[in-house]
Amino acid sequence: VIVVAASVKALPLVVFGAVLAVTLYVTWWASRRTRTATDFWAAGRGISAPQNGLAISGDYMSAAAFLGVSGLIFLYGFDGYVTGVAALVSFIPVLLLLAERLRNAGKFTMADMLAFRLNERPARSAAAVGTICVVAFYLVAQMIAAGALIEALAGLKFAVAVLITGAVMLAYVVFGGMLATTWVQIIKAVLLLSGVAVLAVWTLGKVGFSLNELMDRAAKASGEGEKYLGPGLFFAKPLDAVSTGLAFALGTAGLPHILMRFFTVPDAKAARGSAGWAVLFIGLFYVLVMMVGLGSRALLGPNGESLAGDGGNLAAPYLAQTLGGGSGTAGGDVFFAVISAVAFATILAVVAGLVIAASGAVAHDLWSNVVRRGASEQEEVYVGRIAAGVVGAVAIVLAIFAGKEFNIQFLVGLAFSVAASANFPALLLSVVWRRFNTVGALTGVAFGLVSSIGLIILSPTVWPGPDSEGGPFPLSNPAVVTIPLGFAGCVLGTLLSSPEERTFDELRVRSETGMGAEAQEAVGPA
Amino acid sequence: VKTIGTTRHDWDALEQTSEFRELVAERRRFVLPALAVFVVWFGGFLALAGYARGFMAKQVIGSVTWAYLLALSLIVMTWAIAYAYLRFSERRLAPLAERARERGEGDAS
Repeated sequence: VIVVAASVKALPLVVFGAVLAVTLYVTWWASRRTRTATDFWAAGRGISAPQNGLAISGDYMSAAAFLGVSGLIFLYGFDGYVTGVAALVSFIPVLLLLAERLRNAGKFTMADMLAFRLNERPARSAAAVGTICVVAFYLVAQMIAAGALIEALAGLKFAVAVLITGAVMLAYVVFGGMLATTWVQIIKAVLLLSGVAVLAVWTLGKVGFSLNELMDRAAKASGEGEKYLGPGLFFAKPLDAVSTGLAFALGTAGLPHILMRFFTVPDAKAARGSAGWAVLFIGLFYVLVMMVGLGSRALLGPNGESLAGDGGNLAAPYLAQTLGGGSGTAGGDVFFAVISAVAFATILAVVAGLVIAASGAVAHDLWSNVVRRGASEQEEVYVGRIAAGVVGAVAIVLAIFAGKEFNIQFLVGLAFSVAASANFPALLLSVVWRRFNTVGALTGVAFGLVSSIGLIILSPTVWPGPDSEGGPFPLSNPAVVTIPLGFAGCVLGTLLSSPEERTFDELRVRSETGMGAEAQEAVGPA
Repeated sequence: VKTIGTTRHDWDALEQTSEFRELVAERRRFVLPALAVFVVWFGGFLALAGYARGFMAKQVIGSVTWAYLLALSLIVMTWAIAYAYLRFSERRLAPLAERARERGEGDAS
């Protein structure tokens, strides 16, 4: 007999099952509408601006944003909120610098923009490596989080939970492509925003709808008094707060699964519109998450910290249980199950987005533009489905092998650090700097990637020994050093090599005006 | 000179047209100040969160501390910049981009 469950909780499993049934139905629906490469990677470019705004929110608001940020606020007060605020403001550079330009000049992946004006094969390869690294670190982190959460919330064994999550994620992407992924993200965003809104409003109701009362009670319950409402309880060094904030604020502009979403809309106007909607939804989300974090502290009582577990991840579901009437009551059990299912849907949507981004990098960038130039569109989609399967399978194996005790915090930090230091500088300079060339892009990506990985290994989070003793590099997130290094790599590589006669003017005109942009694909019969 | 569909465009010349230059200048007029606001406001917030812990823990409005007030102000700032940019794009940039496109398509040989 294989032990599948530790101690199964029936109600959360039933609600999980409902989420799976709805999203798999959507996948079946989408699979019948997915034929061309544009369908598979860009949902036929037929997603509207508000829909894409919701989908971006669904792609972006991960379990780390919901359970992680509210849990850190619960445990450490304000420091937990710094990453949340940084994650939201990061959409300013995305909206002002990249969204419309990507839609105008690209096709399926962020590498398209680099390949436009640089030497195609090396530039695409570098961007694909950046994409795959970010996806790999982030995906494994999310899978481990999924396994640990489902085990805690529904009682399934870690490995079983990871396998189920992985299988469902692959079903979305392999069969339903970007169309299924998009609608899974939209459903998840609606579920998450509603769930967090109910939690926050209910919490406020308990304190007479007074923010003052909420803050006072949270501060008192924390045992830290007023210090709980200010920074300094989580980040050991001041520069830690700055560096982590920078990684999140600039990393988003280099997250391949977020940038890829801008290719799913009909035109540049819808691209900027969808970034606007995303900012509205994600901002709202973080206001509500603040209430949930403070509310958990104010309402969970002295037993809260042991319930919430490592990193405070389970604070929000247990807040739901408490609000519903407490453990053992019908209301408490139902609300706990619903919020657990929301967390489950949250993870599914994010991992699906990551896998389709990786599949685009492998099939569209590496396979049909580097390895086998001129591969047919059918072949590209076929390779894309296989790539998704392989990436997903590797992530499942790595997550199970790493186990639930694995420290995922550094993997998420690493993903954002690589995105901000390797991908973002090359992307930005490719649209604003005329002199920028292929060598510059390659050195920039290499500098950002190597320094991020190297410094994280040397940091207190990874270096052997207790966290407080630290490693040779003092910061838990290296972005404050690696982002300048990424830019320095781009500039040095460019200036030390000869200028290229490439098509900067063409990229510039096309990305600013939308001339010659990929149009929406006509919806027609098979 | 490169081909889009059946039309050939001289991109380098297009980049020099007054229509395109005007579009770029107008966009820059919004984007640079907006980025400056973002950098100063968010940079200031991070610096205070790291180095001014005592100040950030002081209560300003009722029990709400400077830390939470500034964090919420950043959310409002993000909303405001996004809204302003969308309006600006619609009213000022879209017509200019349209003119630049028409010029480009008219010049096609």
